[in-house]
Amino acid sequence: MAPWEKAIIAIEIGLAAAVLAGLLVKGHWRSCYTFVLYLASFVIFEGAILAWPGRFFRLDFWLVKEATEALLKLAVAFEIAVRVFERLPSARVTFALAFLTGLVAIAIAMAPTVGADAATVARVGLPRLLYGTALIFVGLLGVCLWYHVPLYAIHKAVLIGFVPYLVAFTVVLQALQTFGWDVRAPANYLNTVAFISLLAFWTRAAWRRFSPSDVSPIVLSFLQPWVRTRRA
Amino acid sequence: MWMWIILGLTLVALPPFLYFVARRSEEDTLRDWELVLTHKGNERLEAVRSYTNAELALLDWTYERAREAEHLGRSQEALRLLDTGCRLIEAYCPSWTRSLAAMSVLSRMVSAMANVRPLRPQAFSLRELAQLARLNEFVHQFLLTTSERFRLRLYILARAFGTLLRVVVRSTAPVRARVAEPNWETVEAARRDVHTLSDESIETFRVLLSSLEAEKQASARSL
Repeated sequence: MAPWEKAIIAIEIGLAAAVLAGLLVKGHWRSCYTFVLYLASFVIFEGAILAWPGRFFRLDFWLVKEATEALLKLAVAFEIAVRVFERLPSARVTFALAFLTGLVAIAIAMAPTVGADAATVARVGLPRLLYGTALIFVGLLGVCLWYHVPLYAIHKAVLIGFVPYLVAFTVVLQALQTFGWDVRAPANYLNTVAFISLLAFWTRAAWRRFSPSDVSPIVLSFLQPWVRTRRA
Repeated sequence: MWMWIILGLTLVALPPFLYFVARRSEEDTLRDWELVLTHKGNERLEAVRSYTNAELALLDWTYERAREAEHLGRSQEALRLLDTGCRLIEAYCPSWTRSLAAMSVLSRMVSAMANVRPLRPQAFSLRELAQLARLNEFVHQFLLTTSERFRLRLYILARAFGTLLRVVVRSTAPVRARVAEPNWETVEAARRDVHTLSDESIETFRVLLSSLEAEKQASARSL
């Protein structure tokens, strides 16, 4: 592993830790447990690669990391949906249908790569999984818009941060599949910039001071009960 | 190749979508829910009723004074009052169009909308509005859910206000240009139809609030 690669991983770990610290200090961690798990898993996996590159800087380990994080991203979408649609049955049913459709689409798209070698899964299966996950996040945002459901600040930051990043990551992997390793350098650069931007955006959101709302407490306790104590 | 096409389409559609989501004020969205979850809905309904009554009373008064002036042969004064009445309608219709659009958004929060009847063509004097009401009656039969029927009613009402505005502007343009006498029949029909449209819109708002109230109670029971 080159020194500049180590430096980039260190920056990413530092930013992810800053997001985690912001969520814990400001109390926002209660609004999405799976997001905290996602960040923690990222810090652990990347930390392992940084500490023992000889052992973990490998394609199979990287695939395990991506698969775990992909599952956690789906869990983040699911948890946010459960929270924001908790008391809104119409929106809940609509999103449940969209979520199931997304999962089925991801399963169908990834089916050809089942049993294939790690390189094929990384080149063919992973972009489809990432794109499907991005579509599920877009679906969640779309249902919120359609039903006029307010989003908690952290949820909004997570959703609108994940969507462009996942699309950018998909473009990177798709470029590697189409053009081969010749485009590795620009693809890597694009992915690094996208991910560091995402973590910087989340760090800002996690540390932002929460201004008390003047909306009726009845409304807040109905739509966002998990922030009731902090906003009252 | 198909993956690149999908990604290309995504890269075109995603930025405006994300911009729209990011620009939306969550505080304002929360405030809209106050209408649903607190007594503010009924307060708003009363405020709308008062506003509508005041506007329509002013419109009626202006129209009656214009007819009186016409009978007494004071045609300049009649034209001036008629012009004022038309300007009142021009200012009044867009405010209802905006309110109906807001109702359409609020109606999505309701899973079980109360039943609504379609607009009745006989209730309208202007041919254009009667046709819209007929369209409402016709399409109403083909829609399965009360929510769809409710949104159809909102759409037809919004179109009706727009049509009414166009009719008023078209029929009073020659009068304003002093090239023709006013068509009192059309003006009288427009005045009656403003009343009908306002009553129907208020009824729609009332149905929406009662459905939202039922939704809130159902949610409370399910917890």
